[in-house]
Amino acid sequence: MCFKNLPVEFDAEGQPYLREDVRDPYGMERSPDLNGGAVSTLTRDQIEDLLERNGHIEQKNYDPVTRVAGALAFHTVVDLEERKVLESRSVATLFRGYEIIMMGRDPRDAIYITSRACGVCGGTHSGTAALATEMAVGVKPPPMGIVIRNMLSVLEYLLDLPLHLFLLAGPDYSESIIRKTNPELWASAERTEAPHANVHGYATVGEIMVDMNALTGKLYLEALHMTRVAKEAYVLIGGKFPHPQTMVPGGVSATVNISTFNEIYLRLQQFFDYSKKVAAIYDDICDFFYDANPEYKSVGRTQANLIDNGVWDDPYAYDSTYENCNEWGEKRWATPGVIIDGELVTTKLQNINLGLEEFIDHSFYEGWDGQRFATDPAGAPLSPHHPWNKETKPRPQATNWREKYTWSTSPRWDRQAMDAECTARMWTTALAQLLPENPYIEATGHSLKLLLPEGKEPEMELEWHVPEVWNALERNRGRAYCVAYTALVGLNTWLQGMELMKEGKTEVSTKFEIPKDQRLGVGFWGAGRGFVSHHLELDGGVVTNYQIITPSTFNASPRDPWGTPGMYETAVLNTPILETGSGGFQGIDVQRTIRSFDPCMPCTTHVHTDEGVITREVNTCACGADD
Amino acid sequence: MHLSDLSFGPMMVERLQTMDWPEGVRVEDFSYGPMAILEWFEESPGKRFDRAIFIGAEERGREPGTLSAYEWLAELPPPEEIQERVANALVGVMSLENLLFIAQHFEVLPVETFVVELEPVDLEWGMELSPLGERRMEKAIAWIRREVHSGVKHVGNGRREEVPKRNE
Repeated sequence: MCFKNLPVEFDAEGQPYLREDVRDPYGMERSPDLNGGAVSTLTRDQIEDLLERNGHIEQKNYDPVTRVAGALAFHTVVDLEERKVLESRSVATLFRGYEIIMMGRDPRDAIYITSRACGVCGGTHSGTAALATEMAVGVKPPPMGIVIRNMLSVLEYLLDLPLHLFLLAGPDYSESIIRKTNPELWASAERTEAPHANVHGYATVGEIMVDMNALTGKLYLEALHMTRVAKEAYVLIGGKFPHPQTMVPGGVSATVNISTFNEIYLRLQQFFDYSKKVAAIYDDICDFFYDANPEYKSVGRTQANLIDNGVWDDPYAYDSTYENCNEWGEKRWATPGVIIDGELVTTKLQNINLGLEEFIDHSFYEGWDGQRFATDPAGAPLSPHHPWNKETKPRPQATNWREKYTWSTSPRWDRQAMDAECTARMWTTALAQLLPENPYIEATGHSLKLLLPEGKEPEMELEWHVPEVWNALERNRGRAYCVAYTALVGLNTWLQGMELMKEGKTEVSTKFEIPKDQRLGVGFWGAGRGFVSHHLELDGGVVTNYQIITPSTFNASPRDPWGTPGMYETAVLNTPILETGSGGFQGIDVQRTIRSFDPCMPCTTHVHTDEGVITREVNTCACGADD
Repeated sequence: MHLSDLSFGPMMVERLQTMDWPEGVRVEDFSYGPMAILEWFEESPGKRFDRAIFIGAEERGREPGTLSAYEWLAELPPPEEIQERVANALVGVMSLENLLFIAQHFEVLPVETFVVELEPVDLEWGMELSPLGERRMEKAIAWIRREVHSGVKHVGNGRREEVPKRNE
């Protein structure tokens, strides 16, 4: 069964339809079935009562949460005796106006405007906008255009992943932090032999942790360097970074030749050896924590509900149409999919789309009336809360934990909170076993085998296993393996590009006209961090609605209409307080949990409301809280 | 280039690039990420410069239109703050002060580093500077040209506010 909560079923041909026996099919009265994954929450009155009556129960606020992209604050109430979190609230503190800026514009502007939503994955937004526009206008890029677009995404992820692993989240596992927060762990790390010393060269876990120190650690500085390597390759075809100049609907506008491909390969191949080392380091870090204290399995733990659109199109299968999206989606190098409680429930892009809803009950927005589209372009039922039906109506107001407290919305799939971070793409790919034939990546049904070519290090096969428990450490381990996965997709993509070059198929874009009638489009894609979608509506040749969902919109979401917390909130509620340092409460377990999602929040802020204009330019990354 | 007075730096670079400068002087547009600028300093030809003047707009709560020129003080904030600034730079934050702290931490700044800053008047989108911002740019250019052509070596390290005032 694909949908458990939405009244959508499938006929004998697999076509989705709306059940006729359900009154008010998208009504809000019924609480969704969360597959036993509901987390217990206290009411605000209960929290306030506890705070008043107990000195050991305190509010701990992280504002801002540091070492994340953009403006995120996090509110917790912690029981310092029981060592547990009683309340957690995720707060996106700034508003992104991109959806509103897009209104009334030529759809071709989307590739440049939405790119500015993020200072890291601008290319992802640009590319996703191109996909949405292609679907709406009906244009299919030539194979080389698709290959180059895939390569741009590979290179962007190869920048993003080391950035997370060693510059943002990595210092949480460094010697300087652990000495302060858990001295007993540091003592143990110094004595613990590193199982993968033969790969990464560190004799003990303590040595790894020293080199994970911010600013001075060799792993920190090496990651800084590797982000540069990826950027250098990126600009060879993107023109610039993070906002590429060459992404266009219908393909790309870059001219490529053998030299371009060779220059890219020189940089790409550096990630083969690097990814061997990164996976070995995170294996040793994760396993050290589990061995030192099995309770670390609960830090950041959530039910394994994951969503991904898949990414990296088959240059011969992708035709940009919604009607064929299930077919071309399943031919991607990362298979689209939804995982509920560890089980893969769909790999169809259409089903992913039909299950999407976005709620604003606890967000600084007004609701909208009516339902513009009862069905998708293929005739399948759409919720009135679906992005194609949503309107962005910002309403700034004071934070109120009982009501509205964030600029992030609450996207849900089949009315369930989803983790939209990047391990999802390995997980869906591993379970689905739909990968195209290739010599380097194999999906086994429970793992991904990754054959990394010889570099300075010998050829090596890594195997990422679907984790038994889904928590902060596994999110980081997943990202570490994602470096290898991404690099190998890059290698496959590079080979496809060379083959096309040999065949003389060097055309990179297809011309198109902007239609004047009403059209819908959706870009199904992903950032280094995870899921990204752009939904647009065109009419009269201009954009009449534009909706963006990013991984952090899902992950940082507040409670939904049924009171179910978003993923950061749930993960923090499940987190035991394991720090032991004597310097007062540090909140490291909470911070490790939040950072494990690789948050990317809103930054550049131009809010226009009926009351006036608030302008504050901070010019930073914004792929988090939506809108 | 479309941020009105907030584009004070990039707009000035465009004008400076049309002027004649002594040999060894380079005019560079650094209106991009601090980490990439750090790499530029590390790898640019003749990367060891004697002196640098950074120009930009910074909102510091001064009277709008205030033009400040000062020698960059070599006092780094605590490592935690540097780390935070590096993290911000890597995820897209572009600010003059971030750039200076990061470049200083990684020891790529010339011994003599000056900053020319405008407290912006107009913060809206726009292709042009505000009238006051425009006048400040003329003064700043005149000051920079004098600094560059005079060949004077500076040894002070204090902030010098309103340096171009003598030409008001």
